[in-house]
Amino acid sequence: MISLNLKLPMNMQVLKVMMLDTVSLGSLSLLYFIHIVLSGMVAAVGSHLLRLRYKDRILQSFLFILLFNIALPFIGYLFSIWLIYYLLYIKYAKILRNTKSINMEELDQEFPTVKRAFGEGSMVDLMGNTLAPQELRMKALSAMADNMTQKNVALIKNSLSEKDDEIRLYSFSLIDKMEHGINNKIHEASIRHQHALSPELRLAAARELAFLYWEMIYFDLSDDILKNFLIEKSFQYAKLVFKENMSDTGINILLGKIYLERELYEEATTQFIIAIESGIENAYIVPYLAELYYNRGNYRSIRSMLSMVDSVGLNATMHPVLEQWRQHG
Amino acid sequence: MAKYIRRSDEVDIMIMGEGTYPYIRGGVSSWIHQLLVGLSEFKFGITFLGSREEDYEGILYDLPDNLVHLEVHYMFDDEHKLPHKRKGNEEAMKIIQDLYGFFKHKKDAIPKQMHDINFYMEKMPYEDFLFSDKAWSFIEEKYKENCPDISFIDYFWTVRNIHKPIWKLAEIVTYMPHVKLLHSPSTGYAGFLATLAAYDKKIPFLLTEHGIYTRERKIDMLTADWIDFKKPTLLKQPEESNYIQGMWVKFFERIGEFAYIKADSILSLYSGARTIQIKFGAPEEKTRIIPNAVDVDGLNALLDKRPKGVPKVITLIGRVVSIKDIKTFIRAMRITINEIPEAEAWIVGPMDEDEEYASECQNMAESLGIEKNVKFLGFQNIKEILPLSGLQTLTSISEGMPLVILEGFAAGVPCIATDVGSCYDLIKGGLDEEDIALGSAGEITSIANPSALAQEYIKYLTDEVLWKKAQKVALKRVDKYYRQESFLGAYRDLYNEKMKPWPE
Repeated sequence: MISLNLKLPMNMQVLKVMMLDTVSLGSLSLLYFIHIVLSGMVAAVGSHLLRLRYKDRILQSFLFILLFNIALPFIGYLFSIWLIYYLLYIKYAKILRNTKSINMEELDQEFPTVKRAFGEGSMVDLMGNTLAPQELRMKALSAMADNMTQKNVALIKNSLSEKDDEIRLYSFSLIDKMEHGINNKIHEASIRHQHALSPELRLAAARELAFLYWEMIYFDLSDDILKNFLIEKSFQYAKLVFKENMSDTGINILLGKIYLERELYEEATTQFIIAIESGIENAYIVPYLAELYYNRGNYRSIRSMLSMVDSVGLNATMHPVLEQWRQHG
Repeated sequence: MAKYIRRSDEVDIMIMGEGTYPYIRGGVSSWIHQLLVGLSEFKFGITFLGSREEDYEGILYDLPDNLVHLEVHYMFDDEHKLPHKRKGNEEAMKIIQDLYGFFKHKKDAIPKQMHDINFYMEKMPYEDFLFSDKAWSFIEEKYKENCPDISFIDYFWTVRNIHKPIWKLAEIVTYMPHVKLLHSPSTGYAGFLATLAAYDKKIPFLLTEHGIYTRERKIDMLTADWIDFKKPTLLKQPEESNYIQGMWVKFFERIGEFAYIKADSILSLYSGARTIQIKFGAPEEKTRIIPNAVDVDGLNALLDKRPKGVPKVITLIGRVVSIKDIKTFIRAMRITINEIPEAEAWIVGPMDEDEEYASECQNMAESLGIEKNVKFLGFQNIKEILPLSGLQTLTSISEGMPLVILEGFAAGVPCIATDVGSCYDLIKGGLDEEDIALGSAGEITSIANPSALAQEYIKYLTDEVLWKKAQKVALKRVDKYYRQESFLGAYRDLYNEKMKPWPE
């Protein structure tokens, strides 16, 4: 191998002499001769192999690989120039540090604030008051439409018997739209369940169906005659999933709720206990278990059950119940 | 581009129809057909306003000979070519500012340019309003002023889509044949067209409302999925409404008022509808009620075709759309079939208006296991259906004055209906003391209440004495108050009174 002595002398004259001594034109020519020969050999092997696929392009393949290899050092020089340019001018995205504190002064002076419009708990009064102005009740309905919770859906359903056409029609449209949305999802999930390409997909669709049917019951979107039918449907699909995966916490809780609804307390207890054992937070299950004990007349257990989880008391609905049982239970 | 199915230069009465006769079946279409056939001494014209050509199957009625003119316009057909870049007219933009004030603030009076055809055709042509620099600046300014927190694209396209039909309507007026009287069966775009024509040609204009268009559009807009309100929920005031929805609602309210102010007579089908018209701005002194009516003698002939006893068939005649609440009927049938296993539900009406809803209903019947009892028959000749029906039902959430109840009564079929529109008056009697004294021709229930409906179905299908009593009342009531002759007579008198003679 040719070694290049790169120790630089002090003046250019000496440098020129040394360069000619150590890296002569002959050795440079030899270097490039060897590079061309090696490139030729690589090109010959390469084009020979490529002929299996590109029969009529042997010469083109050979020439391409040869020229590519010969030009490689020059490509390297060009790439290096571009790389230096790139590194000099690249703009990096700003990284925010110390994001724990917010400079309030930087915020707009007119930061939007959301004010109360109806007052706490006023929706129930407003929607039940036929003497309230229609416009205000329509606004209340519109506000509830943005937040279709179980309680709001119940209030909207009550408005279906309104004498005022506009309120009645709007309430109906909201309920109909919600029911339509769930029905559509049920329809799509049923198709996926029927035509699933693998057992996993079939099971996923069954799980979805179990929850969708339960959603109809939860929002009380069906009347009593259909309720049993929907519970049965939800139960069928939940059971299918349970058979395959007994520790699916969501399904355990759903089955617990279904058994509770059907007053099958032993089975409901089993499902809730499986859910707790699966590692779900007690606070989520305890109210159901407390309800279950209450329905069975096992009042003594309720107090100890509720005292197990303090966080239940943070729930506005559960707080008075908890206090009642603490003081008088 | 207008399409002329029939063309005449001289028309006695021009009816403006928005998405109705002769391309759509339904209550309003039947009413128009009834007028055309019943008042054959008048030469009628129809200006049909549709959405897009592909939305309609074709003419669904046998057109009578006295319909001498039928022109068809599609409001939302695609634009094929765009105009060149333009600056716009400064003066006309000031008028647009006034019009904007009228649409935005209820207290502003109607600017006189709004009913001046020249304004639309010359001062502020369609291209200037939709494509000029000045219009763009105006839209941009109003956007920043009113709703900077919603998408500008949504605002811009709403402004365009709401107003675009107005120029089409102004163009229709320009090419309208000689007409003696204008009659619109609704407010909305049809009412606006009639109002423009009435101002421009100085001809009288009658407005008959079946449903209350403004209210129906308001509900459509409030629940529309395609109007997306993108403001983050936590930054939204509880009572804050969707600005885009508000734009549509205000637009329809204002053009409704525009029609009410110009119309010579504002007609409704029953007293409840008249009250709502007054609430929406109709001057009370112009309002009047002309109830629907049917060919009593023709339908009475069907009594001979009835089988002995009460057929266990409950028939709902109407379009399969959500406002008819067909799902409640199907649920009620589930309860009814538990008691009367052979009971059948016949749903008679077109299913293509809301195909998704129709299939949801069919799925529901199937999932409740009553698919053999619930039959979706599509459009049928009611003369073949009514003699085989034990009861007629309507489970609607909203109705005007349903012709089908009257047709059922004339054919001897009692009705169980929800308490909407004039159903109570039709079934229990409400026109006068004598009407009330006649008794009940069926029963009324609250809406979306399958148990109450089922209870009534079971009661009437199992108690033949009660059923016969209701049939007797139905036949008497329709014969006394809802005969076609009195309906046609009222319109004949009104047409003759209002019609402007041809100019000498």
